[in-house]
Amino acid sequence: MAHALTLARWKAALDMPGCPVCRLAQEAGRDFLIHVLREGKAHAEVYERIREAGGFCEDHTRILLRLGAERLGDRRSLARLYGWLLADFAPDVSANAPCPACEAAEAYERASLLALRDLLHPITGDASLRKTFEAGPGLCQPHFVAGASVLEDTESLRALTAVQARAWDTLSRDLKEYLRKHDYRFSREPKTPAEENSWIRAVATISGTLGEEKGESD
Amino acid sequence: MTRASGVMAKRATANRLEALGRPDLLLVSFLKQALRRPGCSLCRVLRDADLHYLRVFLREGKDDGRMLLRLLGSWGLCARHANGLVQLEPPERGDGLGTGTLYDWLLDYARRRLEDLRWDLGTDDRAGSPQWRRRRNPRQRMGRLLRRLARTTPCPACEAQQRYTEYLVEGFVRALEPASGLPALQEMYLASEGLCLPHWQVVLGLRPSSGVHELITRKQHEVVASLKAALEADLDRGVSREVREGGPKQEPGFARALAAAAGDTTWQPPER
Repeated sequence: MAHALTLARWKAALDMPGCPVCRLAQEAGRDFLIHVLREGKAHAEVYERIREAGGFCEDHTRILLRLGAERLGDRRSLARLYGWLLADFAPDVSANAPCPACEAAEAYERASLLALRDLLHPITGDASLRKTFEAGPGLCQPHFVAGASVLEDTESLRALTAVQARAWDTLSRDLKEYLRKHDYRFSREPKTPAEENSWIRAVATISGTLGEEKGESD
Repeated sequence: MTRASGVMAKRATANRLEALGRPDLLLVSFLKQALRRPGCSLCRVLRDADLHYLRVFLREGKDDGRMLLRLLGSWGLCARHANGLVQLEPPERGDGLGTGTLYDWLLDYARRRLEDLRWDLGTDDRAGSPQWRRRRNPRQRMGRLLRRLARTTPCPACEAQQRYTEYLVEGFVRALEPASGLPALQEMYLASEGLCLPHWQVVLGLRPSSGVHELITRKQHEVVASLKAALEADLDRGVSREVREGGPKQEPGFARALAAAAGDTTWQPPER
């Protein structure tokens, strides 16, 4: 059975637009950065992991730069960490470990998909959460494939594919309307908000979402 | 070593030496422009190349038949480059028509694959199905159908960037070599902010001549010392007080140290 905290996070993610697993993974990566910078970096083991990875990847470094002062305390912590990294840097030794924040995000992504398996279970699953999920936008394509691979019973797989089919049909209808209304013959017809952003949602559905969204900083 | 492979090795060395004297002039021009600007010059050239790739992809590349076939394997671009397309198209073209058309096509393709999966799941209920022999291992069957929805090839924009990185770094080292006859480039490099740490490592991995190795090492040690001094200065000034008092949100020392440690190679829209 999924951890209560994971289910609570799922519930919060389902209230937001977009793929909930993308959102949970983004939050896990960002939370990792905040916790490491506030407290974790002083632990030898944690620092060693960061040093072996040569710091954080480009994407998580961008997130670090955008995190507001209220999230990071002050920026002394960041200055200390990067001061240590520069002092320990050896140009002839390449980074031999993945970005620790990416690792944390991937670990939470796996946990979220296992929680999805539990919540979709026809007997032991959480009925209200399942209902919210069924009414939502479904998963992005990469997470749908990953999620379907961990489901153990056919009933859950049927439920997931039904949610996905409905979500993708709705998105496709909006996107086709958006494209149709670009034709000079129909360009005077007003576009609904769902049609206006349908092309952005389609990109996020097929390619997944990057862990850096407007409105998440500061 | 056989005679043939020995001849080929000699020819490869000769070609390489020949190439050392002939750097790509367009690349040298890009490098000169980048060396005049702040930050790692290799990162800057790569960012510009990334933006150029996305622009060309948006205008023409995505409509090419071979590219469309590739995009079916990679399911469009990766999240990072797809995000770049979303940021790039509205200011350049005024709408999302190009990206929307491409992703509408990919979405239709995904919906068809999903329909196949649903049909297969539905037929499990049909006892006595003529295809029952194929249904003995449902797990394997599902795995096969799901793989048709998974990425099988890397993002073409990432691949192009990877290829260009190799070309660029080699061109940079070649241009610093005395045999290239470009002493101005050495001077410009020495006057610049140097390379980021990942590019420094890649450049050293190419085993430049001892003179160039020494030049790069000396310069990069200066860069690291300057970054450390900037971080120390930030700490001494009391960053928390500045932040509380509404001072500059982003300290130059932090920004420089972070960009130097991670590199900054992918195009992102400029901050507004």
